[in-house]
Amino acid sequence: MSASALIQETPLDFRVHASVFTDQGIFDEEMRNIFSKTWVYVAHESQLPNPGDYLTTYIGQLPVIVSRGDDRQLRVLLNACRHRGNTVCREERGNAAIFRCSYHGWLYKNTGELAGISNAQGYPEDVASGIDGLTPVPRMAIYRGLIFASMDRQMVTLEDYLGDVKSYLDLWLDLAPGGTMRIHRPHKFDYPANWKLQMENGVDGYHPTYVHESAFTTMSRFRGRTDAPGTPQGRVIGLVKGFECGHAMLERPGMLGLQGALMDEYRAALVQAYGSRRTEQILSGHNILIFPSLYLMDANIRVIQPVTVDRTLVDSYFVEVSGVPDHINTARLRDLEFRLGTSGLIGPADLEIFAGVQTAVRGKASEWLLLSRGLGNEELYPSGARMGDANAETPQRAMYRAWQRLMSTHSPAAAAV
Amino acid sequence: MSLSRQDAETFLYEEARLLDEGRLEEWLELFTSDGLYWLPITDGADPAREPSLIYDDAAMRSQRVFALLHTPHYPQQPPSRTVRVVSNVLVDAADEVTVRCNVAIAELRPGDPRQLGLAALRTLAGRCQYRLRLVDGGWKIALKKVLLIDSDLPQFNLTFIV
Repeated sequence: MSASALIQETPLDFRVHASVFTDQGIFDEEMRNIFSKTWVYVAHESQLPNPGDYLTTYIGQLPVIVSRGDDRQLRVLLNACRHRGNTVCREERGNAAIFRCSYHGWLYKNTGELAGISNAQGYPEDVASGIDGLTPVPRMAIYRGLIFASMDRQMVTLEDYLGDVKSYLDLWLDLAPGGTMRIHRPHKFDYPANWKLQMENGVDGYHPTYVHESAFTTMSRFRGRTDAPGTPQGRVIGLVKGFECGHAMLERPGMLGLQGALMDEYRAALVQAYGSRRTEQILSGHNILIFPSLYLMDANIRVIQPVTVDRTLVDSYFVEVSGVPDHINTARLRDLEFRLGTSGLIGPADLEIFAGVQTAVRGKASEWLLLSRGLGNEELYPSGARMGDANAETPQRAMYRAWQRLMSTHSPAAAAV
Repeated sequence: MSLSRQDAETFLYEEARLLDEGRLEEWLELFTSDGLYWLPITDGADPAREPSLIYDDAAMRSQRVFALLHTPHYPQQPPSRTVRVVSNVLVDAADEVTVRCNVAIAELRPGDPRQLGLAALRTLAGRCQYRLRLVDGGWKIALKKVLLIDSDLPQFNLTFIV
């Protein structure tokens, strides 16, 4: 089946073929046509403050080093020796002037430049002098500390790619009254299911009442929280948006971690920095997907890393904000750990569902998955963005429209149809 | 009052038994009111700045146990079966008593082996540090800190009490 036939849309019906979660061939095409044809988040600037700081990550399956060179420039380099392809840097992060390949000892500066070939006399001089340094990823761009890279030389600018979601991204970034954020070591998740299940989930306003009943029951009993996301008495609070390029947003008051006096103190710092009107917008609670693999949610940056068609890693970072007293950040951290961390009441529950979906779809128990909720009741914007109520599957439809466009445009299989 | 190694072992074995038998409300009673249940990611990191896997005070421990026992917490439906082996116990006497030990936990969520996430037997291993305090003539846990050997590696399900 061609990529374009895997998504079916009519005015009131939207379906995704289950093979998008199970077919290794589709997964391989996603690596080429999604992860190599979009802007993919790779790091936060706060992780690399000094010359020589580096970290390793992946663009899809492509291993890369994000390195701040001795010239202070940030670069994204393929993590593969130009000689025989060995992974040059095996550390997760650190500081280095030189990367030395463990296989035959080739040396690279932290700018990626080739610094030396061991026993170079084994090559004719003009051959040795023609060997390049670590391959730079063609495009890199930074938006307010968020570092993105693209393997596509022809890619539109990052700001154009973000489009209308940028105003929500700015609201999220303004969660720091001091204007800067700092991220720490992540909670890491590893689940036995397709990466798109996490992509769909973070802006799915329909599931929390059910999947996270345990957390909300516990929080309302012990913390007096009555604002847990949900649909009390069938009343839907909040809204979702789906944007061009597959980005999406769920807005729902009550998703923020702080409560009571701590929230009042945090709010006061925000009001001082941004004024009361913008503060209320900032605090209205946004989960934002930057398609395909970055989530921004309150005190949390989540990075989805596909491994195989049925295995996914998620790095979940605590976001420390500047411009507030330390105890505010500590309270945000405790809340994040307790709800969304590796042992949290909310985070692992979603993974359990992802595994359940993967079990059923790999057995071909469902051929088509329904994402039509709220389709006939959306507000359309001139940009192509759409808005629905908080339970609508508007965000997921935006993701799969972008998915279909990218997979159809570049897919040789689709071109042959 | 000092704590002999044998007393410390008995205390730890009894805690292990409560956890293995799912008697989590009794486990809560083992802690002092200011007691801490802590699973760091990075040993030596400041827990006020750097994320931990778990950093539970009394209120959070109560909520965690309530969620595990009395709500539909899907990652523990079915609940993990565990068998833990506590070993290499050493006692350092100070104002409070520090007890160090190792723990190996065999963990299994029973059920249909064809469902992803179920019926996989795994082993966790960690180095533990307890601080025990004498309260009304009995020893209580002021700190339980477990550094798992895979604390900084990805987890699918670490939702039972370690």
